[in-house]
Amino acid sequence: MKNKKIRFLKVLIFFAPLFLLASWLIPGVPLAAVPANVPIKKIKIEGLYSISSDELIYLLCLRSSNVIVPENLARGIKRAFKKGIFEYISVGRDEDDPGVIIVKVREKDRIKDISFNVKGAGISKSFLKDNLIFKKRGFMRYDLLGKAEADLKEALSESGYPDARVVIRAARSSGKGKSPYRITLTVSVEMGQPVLIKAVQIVGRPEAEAGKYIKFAAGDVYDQYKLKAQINALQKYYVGKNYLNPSVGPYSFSQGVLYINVVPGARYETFFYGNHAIGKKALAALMPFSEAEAVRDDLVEEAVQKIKDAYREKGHPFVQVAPVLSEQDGGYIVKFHIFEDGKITVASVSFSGSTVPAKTLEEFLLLRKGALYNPDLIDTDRSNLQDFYASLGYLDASVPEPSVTKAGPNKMAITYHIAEGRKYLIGQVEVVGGGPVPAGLVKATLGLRHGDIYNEIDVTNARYRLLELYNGKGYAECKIGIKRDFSAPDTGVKLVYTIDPGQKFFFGKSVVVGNYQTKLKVVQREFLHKPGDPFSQKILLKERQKLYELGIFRDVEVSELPPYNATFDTVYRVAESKPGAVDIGAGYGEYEKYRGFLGLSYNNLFGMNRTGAINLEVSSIEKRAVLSYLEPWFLGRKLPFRATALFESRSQLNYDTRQVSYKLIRYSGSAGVEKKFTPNIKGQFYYEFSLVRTYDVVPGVVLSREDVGTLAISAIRPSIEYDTRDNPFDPRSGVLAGATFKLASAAFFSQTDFAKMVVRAARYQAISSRLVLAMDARVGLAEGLGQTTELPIEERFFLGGRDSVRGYTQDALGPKAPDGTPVGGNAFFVANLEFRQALTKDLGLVPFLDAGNVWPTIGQIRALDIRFATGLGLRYKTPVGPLRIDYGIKLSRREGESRSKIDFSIGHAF
Amino acid sequence: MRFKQILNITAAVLLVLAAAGPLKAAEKILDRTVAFVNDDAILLSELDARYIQAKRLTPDITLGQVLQTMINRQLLLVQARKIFPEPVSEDKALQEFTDLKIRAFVRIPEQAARNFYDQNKKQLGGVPFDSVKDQIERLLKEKEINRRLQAYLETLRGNADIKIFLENTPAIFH
Repeated sequence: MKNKKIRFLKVLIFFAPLFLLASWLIPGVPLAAVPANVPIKKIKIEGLYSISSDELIYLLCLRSSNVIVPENLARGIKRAFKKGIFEYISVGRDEDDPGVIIVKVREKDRIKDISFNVKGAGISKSFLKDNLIFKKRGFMRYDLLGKAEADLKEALSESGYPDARVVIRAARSSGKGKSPYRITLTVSVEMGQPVLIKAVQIVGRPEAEAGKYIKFAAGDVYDQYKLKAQINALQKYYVGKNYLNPSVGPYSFSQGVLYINVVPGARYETFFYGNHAIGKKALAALMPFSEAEAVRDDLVEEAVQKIKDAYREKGHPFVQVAPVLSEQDGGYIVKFHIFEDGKITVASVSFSGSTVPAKTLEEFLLLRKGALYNPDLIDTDRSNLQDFYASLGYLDASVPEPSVTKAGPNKMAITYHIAEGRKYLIGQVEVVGGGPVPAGLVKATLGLRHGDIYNEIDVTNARYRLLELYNGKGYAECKIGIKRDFSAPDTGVKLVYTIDPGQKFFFGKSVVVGNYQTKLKVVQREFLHKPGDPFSQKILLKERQKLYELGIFRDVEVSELPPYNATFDTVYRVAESKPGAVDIGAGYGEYEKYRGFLGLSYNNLFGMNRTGAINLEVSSIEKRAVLSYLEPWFLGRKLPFRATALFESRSQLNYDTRQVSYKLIRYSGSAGVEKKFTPNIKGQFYYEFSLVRTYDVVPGVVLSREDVGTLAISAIRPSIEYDTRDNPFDPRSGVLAGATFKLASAAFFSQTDFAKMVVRAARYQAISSRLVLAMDARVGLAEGLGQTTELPIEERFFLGGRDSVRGYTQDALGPKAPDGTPVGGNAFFVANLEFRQALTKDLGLVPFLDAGNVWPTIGQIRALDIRFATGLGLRYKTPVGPLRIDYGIKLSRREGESRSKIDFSIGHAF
Repeated sequence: MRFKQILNITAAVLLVLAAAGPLKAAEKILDRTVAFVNDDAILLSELDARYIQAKRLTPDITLGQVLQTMINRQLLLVQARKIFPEPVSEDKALQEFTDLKIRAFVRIPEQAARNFYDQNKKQLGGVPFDSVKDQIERLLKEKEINRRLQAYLETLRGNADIKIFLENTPAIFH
């Protein structure tokens, strides 16, 4: 028995190595045939780091209990590669358990960080960064390592360090945050000795002149980047001085001496005589000599023509220009004698042979009554008229050269003799081969009816509408032809639209590329399609727009991969913006004195497009900290949820005496949701809780028991807003209207009960390209409920100052305490009118009229008590809205009040 | 006793290794990447199909050569698709791209044809220049197109991220 056992072990020892050899030395070669149609039972993934297993399985198109189809698998691997993060993917089947699929991936290495070790001074880190082909967060290309070193060395050599040594090493990231496929690059630079300049020699020009731009001196490092920039500046200087072909350089460097050749070449000067309508500077800018690097007779003729053209544009069609060209001291002098003649305007425009009213036709002309007469525009006007007649169905209309006659001193009369010809109407409209789209829908989309005026633009647009209809239904290759039959003009032009819908395509899978921080879900939830929906380019464009609007991507590209089985996979290539922002600023205000703020925000928390922000504000009278959080998709729906926590410590001052009226400490929190009902209508619902401690209150300011001590205010705040403004920062058209309601009640554990409502309506209307009329009206009403007779002071309305009634001190309107401190009221009305006149591209002038007041209660509102102010403001456009200075004058000034006030601010008053 | 112990331990170790060996190798590859060009993968199944096709025309062609051709084709195709997007077929897009980008710029001066004729007069059998001029020009043109195409491909390759994974390719390909 014992011997048998030993014999068995000996046999085992003999055969085991053979077994080992067979199984190890021929990897990948199956030991037994594996059935191909075994359904997937389990998927094992190895080597994946940067994306989730679910995303990889989705891209590979591997579904549990499905059988693997080789073509689909190949397509899946290729699709996954479009992510741009993989360098190897293999998909295999477990030999022992064929239902188990093994996916092995290897990702490309990404550069997590780049550190620079520089021995020796003289070069900045940013220089090294700019000249290094590898960038932080980019993919590592080991094949380019040598090139990167050589390029950097070359750049250092050019900047004066030819002996610099560069070594770049890549190391797998280590330490606590260790992650596969992430590497750190270390760039070690030994600068070596710089090449120093011993002397600079400018050859060909006085050194004093060139020295304004060539600023190298003995002892400087021979930095060729700087030198080239200075040479370019000198070259530009000579061109600006009318040198025809200035040559600065080549330069050479020998034994420490920098030699620079400077040959400015011939120079020209221009003189203009008799010019009044156009200035010398503007005429000089028309000269072609610098660009042609020569002064020749033909170029002088070209200059004459350009001057004439400029004069014709200014209403001087009969200008005469006499040039005189002479040479002097190796240069050229060109004199232009200009005989402007009078400024000619169009006295009248008349038409013959037209059934269309002259006034209508004149609207299409550049040369209308009162316009400057420029004969160069006549052909454009003829073409405009011809197009207009064609749009009316007069396809054969002829608009010959008009007759132009003198109609008095410096006036011209223009008469067009028009031959309208036949008016064409649309006859029969036929559709051939509409395919699966219902005929009624096709006809309705065409929008052309028997008896309509035949207009080529309408006919072509109808084709585009049809194409859009078919493309939107998945017929991406739809072809539509139009046949026009003019053979029977009496019955109208027969139109035949031939539609070949082609194959119907569907949406396939979507690959999202470049979302390194952002979760896939954030992109996917913006999609407007599902796999299997009819493919439409229009949907892709809308999705692109939606992704841009998230504010977390600086670039979004959407494309489709080559189709398979009538299906398009789509690729969304996004480039993420930096999610963090810091705002910091300081200022001085008349009321607040010194003030400063610091804002930190991050708009892609957890890669979910959630925004967190903290804002700190400090001034001589106030300390304020606000913590806010925004979740754009609340409860799995596109329902922005916002939560805010606030701390505020404030002293309210009497504006004139700067005595403290009261002090306030507030802890407040709010949370609520926003809902866009339509693109223009938005609703909000918030809950607010505030704990307010009011102290050091001047006796006259106290209106109720709530004005002193600590008070808990618990309220709900629903609101609705209608906004059609074209630009919220600087609107030129549209309406902004809305209502906000706030209800504080013991039912929500509030220590005070009240209801208040603010309603507003603003309208913006462009009167001309430079003038906008802006109007705004706001009304606020509040009422204490139950035991509460007066609202707490921080809930009352205040008015006056830069955003309400200008010319008055901030919050100064309405009821006041005996010491003159405003105490606010329960009702207000304010209306503003502005004429926003643009003076230049960035500068504007705004005359305004403001009216409004605050009353203690609703019952005490008196229309005759409304206070008025007028004034003038200056606006200067900035990216965050216009910089504003308003000078307001009180129109209903009372005794003891100042006459006027100046306000500074950013952004429009409304 | 000591010998028996050693025998037992060795047997046990070998058993474990023998059992573990086949487990490690027991994976049948269904498909995998053999190369990538930027974000485009070239798969074993594609290489397989191309290789079989190419072998029929050029029996001594190697797997590596076929793969290089596929890489070149992919590089050109990406450029071609920028000008000729879908639904133009791959072959047509490539053809039109090379015509537009390379062929259109190749001109063979008469002197070059004359020089070729003079250098190869003997091989051409002494036929007059005018009767073979067109053929010589065609030949030189194709040569020049080929040269420029190679140079263009070199540039594309220099800018592209390419990696090849031909190791462990089943023996059938070698």
